[in-house]
Amino acid sequence: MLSISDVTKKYGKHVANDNISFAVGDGQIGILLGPNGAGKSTIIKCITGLLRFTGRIEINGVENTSLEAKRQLGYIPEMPAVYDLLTVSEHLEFICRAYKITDDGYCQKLLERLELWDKKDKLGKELSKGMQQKLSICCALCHRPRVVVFDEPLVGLDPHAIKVLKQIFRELKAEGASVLISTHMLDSVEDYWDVANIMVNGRFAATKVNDGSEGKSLEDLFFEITEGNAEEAAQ
Amino acid sequence: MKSPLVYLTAVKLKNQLKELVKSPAKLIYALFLVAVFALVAFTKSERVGEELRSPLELTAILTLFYTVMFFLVFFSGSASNTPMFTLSDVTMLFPAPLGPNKVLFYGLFRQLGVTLLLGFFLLFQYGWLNTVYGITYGHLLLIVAGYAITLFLAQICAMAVYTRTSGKENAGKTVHRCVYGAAALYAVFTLYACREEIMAILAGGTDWQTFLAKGAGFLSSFPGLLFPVSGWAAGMVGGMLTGDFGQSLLLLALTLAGFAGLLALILTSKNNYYEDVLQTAEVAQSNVTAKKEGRVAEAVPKKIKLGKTGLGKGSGASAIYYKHKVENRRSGKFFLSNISLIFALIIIGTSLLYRNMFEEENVALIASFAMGTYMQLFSVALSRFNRELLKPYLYLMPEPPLKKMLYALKESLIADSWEAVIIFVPVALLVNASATEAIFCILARITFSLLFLAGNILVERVFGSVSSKMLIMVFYFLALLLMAAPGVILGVMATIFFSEAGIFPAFVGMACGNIVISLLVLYLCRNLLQFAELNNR
Repeated sequence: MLSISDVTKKYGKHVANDNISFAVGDGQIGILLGPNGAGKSTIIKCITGLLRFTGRIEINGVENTSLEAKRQLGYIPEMPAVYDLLTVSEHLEFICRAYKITDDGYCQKLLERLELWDKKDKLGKELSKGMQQKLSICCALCHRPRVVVFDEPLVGLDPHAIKVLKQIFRELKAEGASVLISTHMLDSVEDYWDVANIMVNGRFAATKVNDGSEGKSLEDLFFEITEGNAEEAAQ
Repeated sequence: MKSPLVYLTAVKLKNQLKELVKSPAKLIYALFLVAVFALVAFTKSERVGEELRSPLELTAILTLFYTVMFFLVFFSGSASNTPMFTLSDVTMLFPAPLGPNKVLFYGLFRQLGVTLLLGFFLLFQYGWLNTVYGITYGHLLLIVAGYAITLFLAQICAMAVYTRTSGKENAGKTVHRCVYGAAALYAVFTLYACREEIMAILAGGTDWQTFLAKGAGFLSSFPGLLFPVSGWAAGMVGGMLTGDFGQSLLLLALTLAGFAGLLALILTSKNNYYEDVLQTAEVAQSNVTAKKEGRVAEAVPKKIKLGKTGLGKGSGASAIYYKHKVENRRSGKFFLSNISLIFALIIIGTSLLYRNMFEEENVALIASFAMGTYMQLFSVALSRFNRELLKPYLYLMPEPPLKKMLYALKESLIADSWEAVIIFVPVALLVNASATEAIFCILARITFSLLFLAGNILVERVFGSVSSKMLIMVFYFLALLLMAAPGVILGVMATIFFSEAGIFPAFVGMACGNIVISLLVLYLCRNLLQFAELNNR
């Protein structure tokens, strides 16, 4: 369970996140939508403990900066975070050692699924941006987190990786993990989201729960809010 | 209608100036640089009664310096992150209906400005150049101009070689081998000119002064000045310094002829230069993007020997240390990164100069130490700890922040300790310092590493959320100067109180001050790794 209560983040006078509250339950996929500069990446960095903020963020009931919360969190940044001088397999070894876990073959499975196993001895600097993104995903998932936060995960991925990643989203959901995805690719999340939050100017302009009923698509809702009448759209 | 290239140049220049006025951070930085320059220029020390050293020696130093810079730029194909064309030039100008030659001249003009700016740091050398060689402001500008000419022509050379060898298998390698061969030949000629002095040194008569004087004599006169581009530029400047205007004119003519020849090689080539430029522009652009996103592109060797794979050890926070060990093994040689190795060679080389400049060994050791500490400011900023701060893993790792910080610092401190030994053992031997002085000098150097690393942490802790990279740089240097002040004061006091004990009390004083301040800062910032404040600065 991921819970965000009254979170505000300011950069000097600029308010990037203004009193934001929302939650993503166990086995749910939450979506963050919004135009560029809406504050999506900022709230994600607050959740992952990379930024200071006011308010409260809890990961499975504990404060997000606690060691217990960090153990249960996986984060895939917008820009792939890869070490130039480590090989692909050394990245995963590093994460396993840092999180004090023993690899039971899960790392190899992840690498195989994302077509990186044959590149396990390649250095980070030798990988293309798409491959670095795949490695970043493996690093974030190899310790089996219970709360996973993806910041624009599909950018730069090839069709096979996109397909695998969508499958991973569903598997995480089925295993009861809380998944939060920030994305601009509305159609890519249309068929598996549970809660969608649309951000504009650092605030939530609308929150929609996917109750299975027919209605406006995410895309229609998004454009109504960002380009049309927000009140009308939220109804 | 105005030519699009003239328009582009004028608008870019105008916007850069407007940006400087609009952005307080950039303005403060510019004012800071001017203030530092003014400080250097007006606080020059007077050497009353002491004779100035020969300008020929300065010409020789310029020949060597320009030649090293020529090779660095020639073999990398570009001067640092500033290639002749930016990626926006490449994507907008190259496909546009403009003649390739016109576009090339636009690039050359832009590059000339950039290389002049790159020479800006030379202005800060005014103090000692004036004291030792009697250099005036005009002379200094000539030295900067010579430097700019060297870098500029080195890039043109690289471009000419590329356009002429592109598509021809092994042709590029052959040209590069020829240039290496010419450099080796030049080195052999230089050593041959000093053969008698070398034999004398090998025979036990260690007269380095005569050896250096002979070497300087060769490098500041024909044929020593005939090495293409760098020798010509140094000779031009040297001629102006010594009043030998005939030499300057002759070498100016050679430089112009060389430039014309290179242009002819590029313009008459069937291959255009676009492909070469595209590659360097893309690399430069990715470096710029990386910096904007808070990632520092590491200066890693092109070919990396992978060696043994796997971290092998480490659990929890200690995994960071073992990861750093693997990264360091792959990034350099002899425990040092390539950049540290270059810095080490410069410090050792300079100590040789100081040994001849100062009669007392103590002063030469202190001068080398001061020079080393100044360079350490920059090398510590490139340490693995600082790079680690820009990646999210360090913050996400479920370990106590202080433990993570200490393990993240461990490798940098060990590497810096090796660096201190590798630099100051030869320096101590060269300047005839005692073993005690050498040991305490190394100790003081290590404490400066600790101090500067702590300074980095302080800046991250206090100014982490400041979005201007330039302001952070200014704060970084100011914080380090403030933090170093107590150690320096203690060092001076120790020297005064224990003046008969030589200079080692100075090192002890500095070390004590540095350790206290560093530990205090580390304690106060122990929770740094709780938050990153990674804001894509």
